[in-house]
Amino acid sequence: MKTRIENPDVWFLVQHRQGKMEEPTFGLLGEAQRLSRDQGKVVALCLGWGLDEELNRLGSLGADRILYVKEERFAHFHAEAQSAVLAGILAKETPLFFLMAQSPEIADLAPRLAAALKTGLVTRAVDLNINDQGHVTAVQPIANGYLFQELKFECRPPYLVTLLPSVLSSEGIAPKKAEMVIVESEGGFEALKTEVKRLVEPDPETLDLEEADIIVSAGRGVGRGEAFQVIHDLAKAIGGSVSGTRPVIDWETLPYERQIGQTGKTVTPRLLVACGISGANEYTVGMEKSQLVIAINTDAKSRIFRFADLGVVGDVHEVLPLLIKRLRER
Amino acid sequence: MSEFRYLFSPLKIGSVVVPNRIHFAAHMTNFGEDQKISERHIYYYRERAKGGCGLITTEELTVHPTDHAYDKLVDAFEPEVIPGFRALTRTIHEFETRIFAQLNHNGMQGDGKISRLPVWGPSPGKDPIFRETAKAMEIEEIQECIASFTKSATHVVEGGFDGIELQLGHSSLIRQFLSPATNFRDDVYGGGLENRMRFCLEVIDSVRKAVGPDFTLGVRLNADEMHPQGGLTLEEAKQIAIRLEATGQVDFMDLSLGTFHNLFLVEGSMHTPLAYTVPLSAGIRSVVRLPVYCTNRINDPHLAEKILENGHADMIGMVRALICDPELPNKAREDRADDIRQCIACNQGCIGRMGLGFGLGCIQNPAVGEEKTLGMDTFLSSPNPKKVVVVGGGPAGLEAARTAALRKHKVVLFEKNKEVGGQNLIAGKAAGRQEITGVTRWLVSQIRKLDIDLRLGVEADEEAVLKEKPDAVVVATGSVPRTRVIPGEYSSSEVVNTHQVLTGEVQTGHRVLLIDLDGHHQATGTAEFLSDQGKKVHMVCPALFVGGKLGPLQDLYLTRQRLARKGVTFTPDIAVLEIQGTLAKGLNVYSNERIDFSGFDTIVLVAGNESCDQLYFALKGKVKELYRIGDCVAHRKTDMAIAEGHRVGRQL
Repeated sequence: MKTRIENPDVWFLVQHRQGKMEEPTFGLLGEAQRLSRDQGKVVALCLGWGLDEELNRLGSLGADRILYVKEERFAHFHAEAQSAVLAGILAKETPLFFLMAQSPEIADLAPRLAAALKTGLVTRAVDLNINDQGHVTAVQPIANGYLFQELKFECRPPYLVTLLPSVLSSEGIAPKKAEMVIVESEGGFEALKTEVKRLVEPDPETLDLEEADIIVSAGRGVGRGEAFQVIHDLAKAIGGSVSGTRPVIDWETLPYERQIGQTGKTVTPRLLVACGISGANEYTVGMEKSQLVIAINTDAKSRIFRFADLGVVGDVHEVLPLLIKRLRER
Repeated sequence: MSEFRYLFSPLKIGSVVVPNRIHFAAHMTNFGEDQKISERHIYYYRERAKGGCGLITTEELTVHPTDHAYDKLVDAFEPEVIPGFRALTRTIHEFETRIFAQLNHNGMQGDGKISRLPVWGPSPGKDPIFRETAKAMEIEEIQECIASFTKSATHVVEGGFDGIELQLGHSSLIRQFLSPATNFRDDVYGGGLENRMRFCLEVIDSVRKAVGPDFTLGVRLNADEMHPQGGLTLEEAKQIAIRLEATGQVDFMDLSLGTFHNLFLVEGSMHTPLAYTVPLSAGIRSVVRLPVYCTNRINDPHLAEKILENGHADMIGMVRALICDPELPNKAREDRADDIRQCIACNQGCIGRMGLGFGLGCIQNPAVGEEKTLGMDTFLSSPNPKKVVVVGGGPAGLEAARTAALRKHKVVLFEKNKEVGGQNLIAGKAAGRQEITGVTRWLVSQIRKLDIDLRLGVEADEEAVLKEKPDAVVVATGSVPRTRVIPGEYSSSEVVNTHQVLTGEVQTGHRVLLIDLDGHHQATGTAEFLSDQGKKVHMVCPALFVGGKLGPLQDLYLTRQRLARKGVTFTPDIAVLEIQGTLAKGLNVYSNERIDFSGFDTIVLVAGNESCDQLYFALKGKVKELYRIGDCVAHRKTDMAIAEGHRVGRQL
């Protein structure tokens, strides 16, 4: 027998940057549709500015309702203010779920929201399930992804979940006609303890590797001293952060914070370019979850090629200058 | 503030607070004397306490005379052990470190060669290593065993220990009762999990009553036997953990894995990933609230910190890591992590010596077991600094230079290659052997910090050495592969050696015959290296099987598995008497049958090295002090190179 859930609506957060919706938003929409099981409404909640046209796309993609809190200062992310506004709305409406996509911003926002609402939050989830009794479980990877644990919500809705973008898919969404509700912001920003003064673009050279979108990684095969400059050149050309294997750190070519691997950082960038790296297990453990891997190595039998989407057999000192030249011409 | 937030936070374990999360977990040492704790033990454990680890658990101490699996086992059931216990615990308590005693009965994982008693097990059966049929314990014997665990526990309390760890791990009678792979009893001690746990629970209950509610008592649970069929699995271990926690009598859960069916998992070598047991501790920790320990191949404080930070364990077991560098905790805390001499899991100095009955050692740390004379307190500057010339920058020369420079001698080091490391770097090129170069990595990191005149790319001859006007000369010029060991007509491209193959100096043809007179990684690692390049490799050896020296290192099983999977084939029992071109003429050493091995493009000969001792003899009698060390004396392994380098450095 199915237990009736008070409010079966599934809400999700519209994630945007620089006036454009980010790709995971569409994946959240797909996930929300699946979870609504045709019982509840799929509601997109947006805190932003200048997104009117963008938001209309969500309707045609299958959202039932779009709540748009239009506020100029929400053109950019502001964890304190946004979590307060979100908490106010969610406490009133109490949907079953509020879904977000894992990102550095959401890692800041979601715990604040959970604390304000005094409800449960599962971060980095890869799956969500509701059984016939209405019990909700989330699946989360642990032990470097060796294991998965199932977590049960033992609180009242809304259940807060941040999903890993890599599991989100927008395929198979049925289009609908959505109603757009514009919510006027109530203000009250004077009481905030933080204020956005200025936006500082991260310098990829100094950005923490764990947050970097693009990483150029160098191994023993690159060589020391001047030979290493080609790595910095490539990083500059593609806006990447520079990293290395342990031998490179041992040479003191890069500081320890730039080491990837079991005894260094674990990274998950969109793109990782592995240069002159043989691919010992101690290294690959730290980068195997990268979305796209391009490996360049002289030895076609290198283990690194098992982890590469694109493998280039060649000397980095021949391949990279050509690539950098081409990139600079664009 | 230390970058290791969690690693250096205290933890309450039962009634005890340990100052940090680094656990020098239980392990064999073969240091026992007369079945008691020895002075050597005390100096050995003291070195690790001084080095800053939070908790020490002693090696297993046996609880009953039927358990005498090896000569040096300490008998906790005899009251005579108490004075030794007290001496040990008093010494450790000079530091913040806490110390627990591990109590164990190895059950059927032993034999009666020493005890002249039948070995006890839950059911008749043979352990795969000892191969002696166990006697199924009678009810009275089960009761006697529980009583002897209890009596031993009271000796531990009297001995001044901070806690007790009961061994339920890879080698233990209690685990043999827990496991459906060894327990086939049809009484109340066998069958379902509840029955298989009965002996364990009765031991815990009896020990707890004897030591009182406030004494810290825990277990080392086997989190997964990884038995090919029917053993304990992680899922069942979780049920056991839940049940043990529910007794309210257990304060912590140290973990272990595997059995003697797969000892290579218990003592994972460099061919096993770092921290390979994290999924087990994370799994057990997900079902209990007790502190859970994670051990095995955690050789780096950053890795340890990550495991704690991720919530995959509460304590980090480091055994080989602290054998290799007792000061690892202090170095990490003092922001000197780059000074840590990391364990490379070669297993040659530690595990490789244990099963053979020798005292524990370490190829990188010559002070292991010799802490009284070589420990960290014993390093003194020379009262009479000398000018020392070291020739050769392999492990022996580097260690001699390092030790001498630390003692304030003025050191000049000549190395003919552009980088130091010698054969250690070549060894690291063999398949899966990269970590062996950790030996050079650490020595280089230390050499760079010392005042040493390093002359790279300079081949020192007699004249060059004498020009330095040295007070002492240390010749560490190493060795090179022997050539033309086997008679016959063949060219230098038809018969090559491993150095040439591994350094890329020669490319072999597609079909390779590898003649293994080595039995060690040099042969199998080169075969695998060639196989990885797509070559078809056949190995012949005069021994019963290839890789004969890998057994004690726990590398035999996985090596043979990898070679077999990669299509390498073997013919054992063969002495190659003659080579003509690429044709090897062999003799079966048992049947005396002659067999030709033909159809190969290249022969790789692994036949040992000859010393490069020309410089030594040229200098003999011409300098005030002359030493030679390492392979320059005779071709051996890294352990001897380091030991001799260290000895000379101290002696100067």
